[in-house]
Amino acid sequence: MLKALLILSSALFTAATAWALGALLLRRLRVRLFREEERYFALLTGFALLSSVMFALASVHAVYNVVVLAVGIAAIATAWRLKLHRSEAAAPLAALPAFWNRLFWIVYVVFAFLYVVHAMAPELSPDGSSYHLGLVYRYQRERGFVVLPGNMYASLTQGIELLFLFAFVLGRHSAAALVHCAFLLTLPLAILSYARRNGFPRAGVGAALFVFASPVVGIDGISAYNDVAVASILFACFYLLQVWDTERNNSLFVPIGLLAGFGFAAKYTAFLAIPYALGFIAWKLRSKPKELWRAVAVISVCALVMVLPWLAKNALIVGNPFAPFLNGVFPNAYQDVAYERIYAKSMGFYQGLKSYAAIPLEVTVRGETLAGFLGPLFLLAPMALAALRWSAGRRLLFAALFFGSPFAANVGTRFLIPALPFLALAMAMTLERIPGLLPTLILLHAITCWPSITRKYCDRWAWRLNSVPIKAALRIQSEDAFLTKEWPAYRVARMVDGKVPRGERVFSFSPVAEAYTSREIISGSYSTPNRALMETVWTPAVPGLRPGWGQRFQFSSRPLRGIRLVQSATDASDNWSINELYVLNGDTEVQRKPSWHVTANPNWFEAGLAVDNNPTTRWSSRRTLEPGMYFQLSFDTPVTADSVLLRCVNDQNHAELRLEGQTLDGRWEVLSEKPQQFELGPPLEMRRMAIGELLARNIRYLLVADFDVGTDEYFKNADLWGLKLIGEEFGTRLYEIKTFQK
Amino acid sequence: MKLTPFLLLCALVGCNRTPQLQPLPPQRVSVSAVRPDSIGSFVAMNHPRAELYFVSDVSKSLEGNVWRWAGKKPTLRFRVPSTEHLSFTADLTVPELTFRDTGAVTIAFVVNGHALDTVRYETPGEKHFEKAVPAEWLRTDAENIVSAEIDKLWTSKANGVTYGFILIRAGFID
Repeated sequence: MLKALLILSSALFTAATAWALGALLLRRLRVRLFREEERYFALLTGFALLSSVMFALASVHAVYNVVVLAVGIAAIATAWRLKLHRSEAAAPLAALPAFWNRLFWIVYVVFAFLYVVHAMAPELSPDGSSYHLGLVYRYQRERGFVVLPGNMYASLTQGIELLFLFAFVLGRHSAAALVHCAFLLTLPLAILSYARRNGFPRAGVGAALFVFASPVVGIDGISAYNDVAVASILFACFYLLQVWDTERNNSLFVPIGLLAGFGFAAKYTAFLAIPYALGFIAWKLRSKPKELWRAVAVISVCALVMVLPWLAKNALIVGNPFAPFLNGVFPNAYQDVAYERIYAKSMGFYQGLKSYAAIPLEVTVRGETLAGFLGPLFLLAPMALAALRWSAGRRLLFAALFFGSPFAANVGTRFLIPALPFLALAMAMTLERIPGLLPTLILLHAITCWPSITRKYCDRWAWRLNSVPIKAALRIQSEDAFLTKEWPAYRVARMVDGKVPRGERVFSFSPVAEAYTSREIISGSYSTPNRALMETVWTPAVPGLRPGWGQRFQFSSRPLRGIRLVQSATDASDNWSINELYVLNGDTEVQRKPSWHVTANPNWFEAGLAVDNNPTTRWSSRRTLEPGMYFQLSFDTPVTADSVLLRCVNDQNHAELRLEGQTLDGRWEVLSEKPQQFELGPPLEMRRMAIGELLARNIRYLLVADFDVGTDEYFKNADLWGLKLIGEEFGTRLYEIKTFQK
Repeated sequence: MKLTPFLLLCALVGCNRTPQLQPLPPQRVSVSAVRPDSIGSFVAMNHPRAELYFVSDVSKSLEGNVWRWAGKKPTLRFRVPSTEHLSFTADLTVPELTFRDTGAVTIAFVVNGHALDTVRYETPGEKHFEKAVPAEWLRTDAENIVSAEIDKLWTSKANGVTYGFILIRAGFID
């Protein structure tokens, strides 16, 4: 119970700190809002400010318990001293009719109880336990940001994760999840107050509960995710713009800009808040250019305060401010265009989705393929179009469309959450016109979204809340006992902690619940170098990856300053790659010198892999074939050669290569228009060579899940790989790499 | 001139856009280094230096850029850098054409004078042979001689030449 109290108080302390910071800002700006709005916007803008404070603390590695406590206490004490907790000065919004007030609070309290219990229970969400909190745990251990270019998730903006970090240092995982839950608990209140302010309170009750009870909103909001936070930020931004439109108080540009920028800081897709805010203001002030430019400047500067630190962090660490995206525009060593395309494709059409026509039913009722469902009520979403009759409805529908547009790039149900408040309001505005229908639908929605009811109609493995884990939430059942029973990934993470000495690194083909292990996990899919390493370890195990194909370019013997392979074909499926490149003279390989240099275009970052004398590593273009790609080797002193031999994987049949040589006078001339192609056969000792690459990177442990590529090979031929099985948990084997070879 | 944060950002990220020459990485110790002047542990029949591996009874003529005819007892030589955990493998074809006359054939695989295996092929078509070779049969300081003797030859009615089977690739793998 004490632990539960610590968790709850840590989350409340985080929210109180945020509120205090926000209240101080709003007081300073002399913003006039209704009482309910004042609290909400203080909290939301405070979250933005607290996130920035945490960014600064994490940047200087000052994330200590005492510092976090000091920040919180200072903010709360200052707000208290200024009596900001008393809102007598602000007028309340018009009261809700009694029936609607009761209806709202009954449904709200029931679901709020469910959500708080779940958020307090140990964190077991897939993304939350792997990277959202995995990174937070790492930052907590290191007292701040860690340079992790090999982890694509560390390159995403982490505005919400920094709020998690504030709570985590005090109350660990569940405190962080409760911070996200705070966004969940306040979002319906914001929807309701927006509707009350704009004269459709009954629709506000309906929309607030439509959103709040929605199963995907619930499970996302109680997890250490960020989608509900993003929805709250976007809605707050939209709401404040409406308030400004009514009040014309230009002080509001500051919180509007901060919230718009905080959207980007929370999640890339929420960058839309910035063009939305600027576009809205530009439209409203189109006839007052002087006022417009001032507004645009204030909003932009405030937004950039939230945005620029993240861009700068990525630019410095990864060389791409928008990492892990836009790698074509900002080529870098850590992410590549080919994977970015594969990733985008997989997000745009989830595995198992039969067709786009199946999406409406998947996102409302089924819930397995697209990871979550909104509830059957949202099958009525087309009725929202009737709200086009009213200007408020048109504004809401535009916002729903605008903020929901990232769904086109990622069809996961949770990507609809940011659009949901707007859609729900438009739906409720329409539905309330039919007497008695709205309260009936609210009750039906609440019933059909309750965990014991959802299981009767949704897919078996739909992402949803299942039970009410009160004992786990109150820590009557220990965290370890609960997670051991409920979350296999936790058992794997604990095995790693138990078997791997501190300071050691573990290479894993699949993501690990890093929120529960303090060992450094090198996850095979998280970056280009990691993927290259993963392919290397796969090479001996997967026949299709073995470099058994040779290409030989023959030419008359001559002295050269360098050689260049130029690729001239176009193909949308093949990448070009080279495992090893040998320069030959007669029947002898010209010995490589450390003073030689290598480059390639594209992906010069990995060019060395083709000249490292390890046939299990390879340079890959990591782009599909385009004319003009090249691979170049430069000699410090002229080398006499008569052929170049490539050892490759036979997976690039569409590539068309020619060999060019740099003559002594510096000119490049064609040496051979076409290679002779033949089979070289598999090199010996590939296993030793492949595993040696892990050792060369100080990785002495390998984690292989039963669904990973090559799992049987590593197990059956463990001795040939130099592997020793030291642990197995839920089908995942942990090997220690025993052999050390240079 | 003031350097705005944006320009600074562009400068920071811009440096990586042009391919850069970099020194060669540390060289790994590989047993599979290319030595075109000498034989290795594995040969495909379309390898430009395949004939270096032939001791006897393998055609000098490459067919279809992939395979060669083998006679009664094709014999090849290989070098291996170590003797542990090696298997001998061969991909061969018993042609439909010869099988019609010879029926089932038996091929005896011999490594350095040790009978590795004898396999009876009851059907024509592509065959894959693979079997672990005891380390003590092999040597690293000299060539390893491997033969695959077929029990029945086929004689072409067109030219009177005798043929055994089709060889595609052979050698040691680990």
